[in-house]
Amino acid sequence: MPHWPVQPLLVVLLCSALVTLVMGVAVLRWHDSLRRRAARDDTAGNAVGVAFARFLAGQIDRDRLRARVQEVPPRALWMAIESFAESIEGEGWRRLTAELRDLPEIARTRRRLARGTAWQRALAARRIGLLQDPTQRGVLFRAMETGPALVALSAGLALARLHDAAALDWLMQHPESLAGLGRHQMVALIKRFGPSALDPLRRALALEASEATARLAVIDALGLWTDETSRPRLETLLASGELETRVAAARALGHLAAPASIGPLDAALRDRAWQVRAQAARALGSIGWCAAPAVPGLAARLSDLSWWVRRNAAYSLGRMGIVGEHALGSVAESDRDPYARDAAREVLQMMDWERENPGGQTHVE
Amino acid sequence: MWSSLLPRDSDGWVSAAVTVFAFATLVEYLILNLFACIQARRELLRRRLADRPSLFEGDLAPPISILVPAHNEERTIVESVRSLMQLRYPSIEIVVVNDGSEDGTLEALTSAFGLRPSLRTARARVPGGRLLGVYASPRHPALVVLDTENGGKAQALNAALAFSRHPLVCAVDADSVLERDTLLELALPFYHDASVVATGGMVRPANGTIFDLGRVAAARLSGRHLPRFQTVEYLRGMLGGRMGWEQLDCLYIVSGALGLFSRQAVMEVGGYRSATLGEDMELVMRIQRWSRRRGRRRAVRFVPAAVAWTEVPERLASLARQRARWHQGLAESLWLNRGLLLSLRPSARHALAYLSQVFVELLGPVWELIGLIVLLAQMATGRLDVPFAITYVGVFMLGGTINSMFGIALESVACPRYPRLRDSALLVCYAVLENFGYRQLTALFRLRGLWNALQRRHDWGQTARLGHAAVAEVETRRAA
Repeated sequence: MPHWPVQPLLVVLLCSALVTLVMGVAVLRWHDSLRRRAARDDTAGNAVGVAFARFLAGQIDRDRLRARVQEVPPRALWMAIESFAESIEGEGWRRLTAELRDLPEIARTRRRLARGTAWQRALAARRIGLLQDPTQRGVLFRAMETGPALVALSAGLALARLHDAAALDWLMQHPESLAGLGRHQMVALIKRFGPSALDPLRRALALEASEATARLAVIDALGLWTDETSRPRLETLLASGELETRVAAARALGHLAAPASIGPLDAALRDRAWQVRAQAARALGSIGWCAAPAVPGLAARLSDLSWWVRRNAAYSLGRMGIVGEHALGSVAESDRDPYARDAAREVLQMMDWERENPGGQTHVE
Repeated sequence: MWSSLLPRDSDGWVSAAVTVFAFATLVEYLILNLFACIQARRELLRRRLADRPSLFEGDLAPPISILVPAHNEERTIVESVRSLMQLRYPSIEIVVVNDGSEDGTLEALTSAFGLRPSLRTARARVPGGRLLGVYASPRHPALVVLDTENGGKAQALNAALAFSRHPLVCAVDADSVLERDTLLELALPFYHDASVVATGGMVRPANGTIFDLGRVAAARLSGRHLPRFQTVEYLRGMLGGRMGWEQLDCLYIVSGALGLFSRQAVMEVGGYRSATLGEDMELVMRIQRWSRRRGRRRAVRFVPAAVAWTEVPERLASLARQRARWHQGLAESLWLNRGLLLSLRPSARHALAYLSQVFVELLGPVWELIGLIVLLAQMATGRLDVPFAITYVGVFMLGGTINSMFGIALESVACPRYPRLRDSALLVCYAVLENFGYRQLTALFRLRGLWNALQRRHDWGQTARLGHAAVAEVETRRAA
């Protein structure tokens, strides 16, 4: 019978078991405390939400509102503010925030906006912005100027809620303050400024901002707002800008869908870059049957080397009424290019399905 | 003086090697968990600041094509597609590939959605002769079904890529159920940071969880042992491992059941390779190499809040096959992407991560089983090397348990889903219990996968070409 040194092994096993037990209990206690805290915050947040609603309905006065708000933990208060800020706007929200602005928690958050880590400052900017308190413009503006990008974005969004055109002007002049931001996110930021953004954007478009992301975002935003005033400038950019600028200009003109742009867009169908041709074809489709003069150009693009151009041209023809459908039909039947025939047949089938299900979900893009 | 510290016989050398490996593993996991904690905190902060409403504004959310390869999924496919149609995201299309199913997968889809032959054109080449038909539905314009000969998951995904039209593609398993906001969570990093090309989500075992019309009604732990062990493994691997590697910007694994990719990046690296059983892992490694060449930082992200639920094996035989396949996939992916280590422009970060994948993940079961055999042999012969035994028990078992505890704890912070304390308590128990049998069994299954990979080594090059041909873009169709 071999002699096994049981003692040291036993000690190791016991120690391991002890460590495991301690860790297991710690993990469970932590899990439980997080769960309880979340439940508590939820309940308190809902109670604050109810207090907000009752205050707005005139069922409780400001003292009772403030008393109710001050007895809940800060997380619950901000949860309630977040959910309320997303659901109501205007006079009601302004009345409510006027009562909240001098609460100790709000004052603490304001102080954090000036002093703290980047994350803390960004979160503070977001929270202050939710209150829609015009008196906070100065402090938010300073935070945006000081940066870094995380704080500048958060403060920018907060100022956008206040429709602060000066803030957008500053951002357009200092695009480096939002370094690393994607185009879509920048467009979203600009859109948050609402109609007050139009003038700063027009100025930025005229000056042609040097930073690429900002420039493209300006073009996209003007397109999304269908700003007719910017159309001539967009048409110029479509003809002479850099590749990405030309693509963005074509996209924006598609959003504008102005018949006056048919000429420049038709010309863009012959652009050297397939991305511009594809976007121009799509933009002509957005104009619809009014763009009938562009049908020959679009039909020619059904034989384009790029699949995207063929596809967009075919779908755009599908949106041009009987003239476009006729063009698609003749290509589908007799064109020598099989790729053009395939593109035309695909769209004709989609149009048939659309007719079969009027008001259905089939979209001919 | 130093020579006295060296082992004197072969047993001693083996014990020393296993000990060194065990400590290296422990240190690596502790470091990863530390980074995972930092990452979890950052993730929490990021979520608080996330500008979700903007993503729903017109034209701002990047549209997503969901790719669903399906092979013999007659029983689940209709429900899966219906659940995908309910996802909260402004613009999606669903491309299902019936990959040579022998059951009624296509018929089930046809009758459920009113499919008809479609003239939809492909934007990239599909392997010649493999595509049997394209179907779409007038009632569901966002759904396309491709019928192909059986060519494996990678080929099916390549066919789906060829027909997908959106800039982001999300590969999901046909039997997975995505939570309603999963796509939104996965897309947020793309929206916030232009350098991101891939995001992976958290895959969780669905066994035990209650679903209602394709949605999670109540998250529950399974009543069976094997799924419980696997739940602990998933939490440990996904949260401790992937979040840690993401913080180090060396994430090589995005689960095949839930990954969102930039279509352009996938096409530029050549699409999915059918040369490996781990096509998802292999693709991510290639994307990492591609990103490094372009100087992109933090191109691959892990999003714990994006959750997909998937059935995990409840029988040992299925588990054995699955683990062997995964490990073979890991071996093949590492071999095919050795450029991460051997490059003209080496990156210390990637080299370290690659070596860690090789020595800790790939060869882990070898070390572990050798250690166990040595320990048992020593005990049987009465020549137990006490320091070695202590190291083995302390480091492998205690280290593994601590690692699992980190995973369970991180779940509470990063993506809490189990509301009942009882489920968490069970997970803690199974984190301890897995050291007594389950862990050794899975090591054995993984070893089999490694052996399979070594056996099939010479086939890799031959099949690799098919994978690349499948996704050659035809943007310039006549240029060639």
